[in-house]
Amino acid sequence: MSSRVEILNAGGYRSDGRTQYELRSLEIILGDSSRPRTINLHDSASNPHPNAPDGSAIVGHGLTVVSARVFGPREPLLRREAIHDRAKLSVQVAMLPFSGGMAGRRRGRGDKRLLELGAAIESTFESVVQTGLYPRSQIDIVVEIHQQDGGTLQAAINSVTLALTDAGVAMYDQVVAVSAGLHSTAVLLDLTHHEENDMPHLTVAVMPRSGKVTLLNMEARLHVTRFEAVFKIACEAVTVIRDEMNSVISKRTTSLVASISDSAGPRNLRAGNEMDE
Amino acid sequence: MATLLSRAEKSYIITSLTSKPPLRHDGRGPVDYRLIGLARGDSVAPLANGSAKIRVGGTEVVAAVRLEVEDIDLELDEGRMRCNVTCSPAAYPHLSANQQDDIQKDLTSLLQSTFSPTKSHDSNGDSFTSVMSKSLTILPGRKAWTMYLDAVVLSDAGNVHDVLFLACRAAICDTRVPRTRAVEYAQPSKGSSTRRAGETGGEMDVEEEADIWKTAVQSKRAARAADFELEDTADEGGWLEGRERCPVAVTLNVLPTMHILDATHAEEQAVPLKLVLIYSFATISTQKEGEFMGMRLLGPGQVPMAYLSGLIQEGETYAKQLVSALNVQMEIK
Repeated sequence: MSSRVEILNAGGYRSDGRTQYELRSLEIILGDSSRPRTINLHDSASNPHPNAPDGSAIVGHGLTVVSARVFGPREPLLRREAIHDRAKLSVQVAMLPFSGGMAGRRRGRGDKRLLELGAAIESTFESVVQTGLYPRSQIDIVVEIHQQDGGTLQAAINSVTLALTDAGVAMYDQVVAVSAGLHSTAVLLDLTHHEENDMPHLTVAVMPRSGKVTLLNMEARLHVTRFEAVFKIACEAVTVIRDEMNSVISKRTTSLVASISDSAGPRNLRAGNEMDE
Repeated sequence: MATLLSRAEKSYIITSLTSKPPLRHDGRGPVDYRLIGLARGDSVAPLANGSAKIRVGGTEVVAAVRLEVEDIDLELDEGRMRCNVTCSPAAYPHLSANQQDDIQKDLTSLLQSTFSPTKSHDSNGDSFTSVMSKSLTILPGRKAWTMYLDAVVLSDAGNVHDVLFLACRAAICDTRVPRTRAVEYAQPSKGSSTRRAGETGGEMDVEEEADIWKTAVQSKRAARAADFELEDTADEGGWLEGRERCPVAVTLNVLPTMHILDATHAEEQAVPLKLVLIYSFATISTQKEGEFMGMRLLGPGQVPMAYLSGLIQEGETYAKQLVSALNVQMEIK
């Protein structure tokens, strides 16, 4: 099963020019960036509509783009679904029909692959979100896969972490995920779709502060003696993504704080309006 | 549908709309649209042949066109269009999965019925869909592009019909059909067939090859064409024919004395009677009258017959403005 494109060439470069441990470019959009920050009378996007999510994030690992939106904590749609001492977490995964990647035409709501992905995300976050703080409520997470080029699960988990942060849901720690694979004896990080097809790979989700692993997903065979090396490097890579995510969060929070203090006084608000016109 | 507005809130909205001058909570006039944001091309869906994302206020729809080669029957003779609308679960967070499916089916059937090719019965010539599907033919009677038009409603803050049609129009206008040429099999001439490949040099082989596989230059008329090949051109292909005639929808939210355009989510609930009008325009420059392509009266309530024709005419002026604004953005004509 050899492919024409070398996974790792003699110079130590991968098919897309990355080195072994190099991650793809990480793009993070936290919150609804398309919503203007200044108040514009003629654009009702500045007043959030009732269907607007409480938190949202778009994460792109290279060509893989996944968005997550969080609704809640809110009252459950069905009263019987309420749990008396904690919040119910529900994750729905949708795949855009033109996202490409996986074979097969269209994946609807009941698709097995998507349900499995949703269940993996749900079980990952059930132990991380402080559900005990929100009794009798529901937190809905909608994950949309916009583009696929490998590492869908890692992108989904990272975007859900950011969206939950954006929504202000209490968590014990962040969850950061990365995928890693093994090419003969070389460990590769953040695999593309092409690389995922050609080597055993795993996705690890780690809570970086405590170092606990909340998800380990592997759908191939990997020798037990090699596993440790792959796993260790993946756990190390997680801290890099964590730092990147934290810098985006702090930037966003700073701008939010700035806009709150800007609009604190009526005089400043008027100044903002004049700028618009 | 879960009621999100109280009766008092609804009455507040209706009273302010019917007052003089009419007031809307976001300060717009009754026939003003919210800001329309447009993104298109590879930044939206790099794997599609054409794609666009339209955002009007909080309503966001992505549409993408994919072309796939399909074997067709002799009598069909042209490409087909398949439309599908998906609603993201995030678009209707207050609805159950079954209700979301219903909305999806409604929008899909509206889109499909508008875009399915029909022969028009008047003297104006063919409808835009039949013009468009003719340009999707690769080999007449044998192969054609099937156009998959997928739209995804990412979020709905009111007026989803208009935004959906705008996104579909933008995606179709953005679509490039790969250029193809027919390849035909020609009987090898006597001289070349007697020669053996081993006896001749490499150059002769190439010559022979070129002799057998002739590229029919006039691709569409090549009756004996066996297959087709993609042309290697600098651009990604030609625009769809008749793309400027692609329809737009204008939704009038009808009150007894007036109507409003581009209703927000709250206004849609307070004014439940919606008249969705679908128009197609040949070109804006000729000032030709538009074609009326479809109409849906949604929600409880009724419109008097006499009132309706006026609404359809007014809808046409709004649609014309909308189309010309989009054409400027998309650089059509």
